[in-house]
Amino acid sequence: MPLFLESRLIVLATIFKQNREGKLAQGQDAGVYAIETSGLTKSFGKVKAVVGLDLKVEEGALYALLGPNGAGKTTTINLLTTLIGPDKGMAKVAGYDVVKQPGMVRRSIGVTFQEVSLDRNLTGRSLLDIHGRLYQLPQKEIKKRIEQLVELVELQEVLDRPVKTYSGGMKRRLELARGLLTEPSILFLDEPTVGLDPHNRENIWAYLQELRSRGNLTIMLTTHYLDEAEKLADKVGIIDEGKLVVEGSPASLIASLGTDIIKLTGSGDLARFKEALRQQEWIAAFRVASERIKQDGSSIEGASAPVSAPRGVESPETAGKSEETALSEAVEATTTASDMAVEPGGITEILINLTSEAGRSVKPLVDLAEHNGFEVADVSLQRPTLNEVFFKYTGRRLRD
Amino acid sequence: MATVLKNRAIAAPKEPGEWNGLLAGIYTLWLKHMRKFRSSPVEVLFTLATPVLWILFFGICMTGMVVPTQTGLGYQAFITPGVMLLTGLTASILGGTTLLLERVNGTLKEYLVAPIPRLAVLLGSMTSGLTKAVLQAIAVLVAGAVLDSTLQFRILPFLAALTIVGVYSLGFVGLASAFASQAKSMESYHSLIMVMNLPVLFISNALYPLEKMPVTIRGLAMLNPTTYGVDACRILLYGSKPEIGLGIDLVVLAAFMVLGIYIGYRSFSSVMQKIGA
Repeated sequence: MPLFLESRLIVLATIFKQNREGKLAQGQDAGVYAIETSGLTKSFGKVKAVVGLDLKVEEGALYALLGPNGAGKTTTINLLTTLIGPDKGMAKVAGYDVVKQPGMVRRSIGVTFQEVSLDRNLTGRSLLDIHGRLYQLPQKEIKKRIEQLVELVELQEVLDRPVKTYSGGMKRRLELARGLLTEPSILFLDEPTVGLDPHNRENIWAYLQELRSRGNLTIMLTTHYLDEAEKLADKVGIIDEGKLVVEGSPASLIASLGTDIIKLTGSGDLARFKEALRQQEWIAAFRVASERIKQDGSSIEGASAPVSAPRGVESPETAGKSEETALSEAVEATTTASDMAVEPGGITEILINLTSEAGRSVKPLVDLAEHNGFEVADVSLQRPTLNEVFFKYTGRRLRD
Repeated sequence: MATVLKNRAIAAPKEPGEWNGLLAGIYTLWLKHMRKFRSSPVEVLFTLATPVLWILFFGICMTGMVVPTQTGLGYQAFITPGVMLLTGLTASILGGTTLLLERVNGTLKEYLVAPIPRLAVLLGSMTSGLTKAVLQAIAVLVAGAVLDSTLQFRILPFLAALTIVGVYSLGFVGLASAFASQAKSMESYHSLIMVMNLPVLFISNALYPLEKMPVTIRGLAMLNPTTYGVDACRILLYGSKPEIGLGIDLVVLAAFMVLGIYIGYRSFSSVMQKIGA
């Protein structure tokens, strides 16, 4: 029977494979980007799924493709993982062309698909073992890696049970382990947390962060959860109707929306500090959010009237509109109220709108506070979310 | 047509190591399907039960009604080759089901992004289908030999008959893979298979000799590969008088195998083009 012959040849195949792996690692160093596409295009009949996509993902980065359903995220993943071929354009993954060297691409990547794609009747262990064999890993290595990965995704106890008995979260975790079994240099995750409860989502996030801390793994994931992209990604690409709409770090995208807000918590001479704040050009506005938080931590809701462009206050002539006048009045009211309410030692929260990026303004702000007798206990940033970024660039809200 | 053959995804391996990938892929898929087969005793039991039931009930009961034919065999012995091939057919269909299931539940994608040629996926499924067919044919042979004294345990004729079953089954594995690649759902696959299954048995010499058939049906039976398989097995196992002749049987069966595999390959590769659509 040829089958027996084949199993012999597998052994040979595995040995050759190992030799090649050394070369493969060298080949990867040559590529500057882990993933690089230019003009990538794919249509299904009349439907244009991906239109002239240009992407660059640096080695070791976590890149999140963000977009609504049907935006072309999955098609992009399918193209990059060699599942389908492009109509036009070029894509390189781990330095290999997806059309000319699909085999090398496949050796370099791990993939989890959007829909759970596990064989229900196999045990978790058997499923991982089969996967390792598909990549021609030696048996010993497969066994060792299964032990390690199962520990990472916490499936030790169910490993020898059939997959059909697993919960949704366990299946996702098993898929993640399967994607990692071959120690890929690039991991593609298509909606890795879709349909999971918050606890399981956070587990997956934690595994991904743990993985990244271990080595130079590049991850590309798609998601329509904004908080996921914001929490995990170094770089976010917003994709809509097959095109890249905007790209950048979550922070820079958010910053592009406008000013940051710094929240200062502290105590001291509030009136003098407020006066000083009004003098600063780099402060667009500020308001006292809550004040006089007692020592036991419970806060008395202070007046939190929205407030005060300092210039607006100082030059009433520009504040022609009635609402701005109202604002100024509110400022005065707040000022009076808080001045009276705050006893020495009370704690106040002040929200400050900046004209420049928050990162550069924190120190001057803290210095300003301390020079004016206001002791800062805590500083925090409040930023607009990616939700708003998405809306700004696509004109649409994300829907599930 | 030509574009399908030129499809890079399924073309002969060009990158280094792809031949290893092909063998590893075929072996791994075969191993996986065998593990699943082994771990589902119901599947094993049912597929083995059907042919044994045929021989036990149909064979024994019909024996009283049937006059000996020119093949010189008792009725039970007469139908054993046909039942054996029927078993092969069933196993081939199951092989197709495996492929279809993997396509429907998304497991196929796992293979397609693995460093194995796509051809390995098809051949792996075919190989496991073939293995099941041969295993079941062995069970039928054993049952036949136990129930009927005309069949002797002899290595060479057994091996020869099993080879015939293998060749015959591979043809059907190919056809089943073609259906499985294209079928929209499990239901449509099975209705197609049901339509195919019975005529393949009835319009052949498996249950009655060619000479007793009306001319038109005999003509149809001559288009059925089962007829040639049954004739060859009767000659090899029982040394009975040929209805057609071993040489022609072998040529026709080999041609059927090649055709079946080719159709399966064509169908599979055209589906590979559309995947992800």
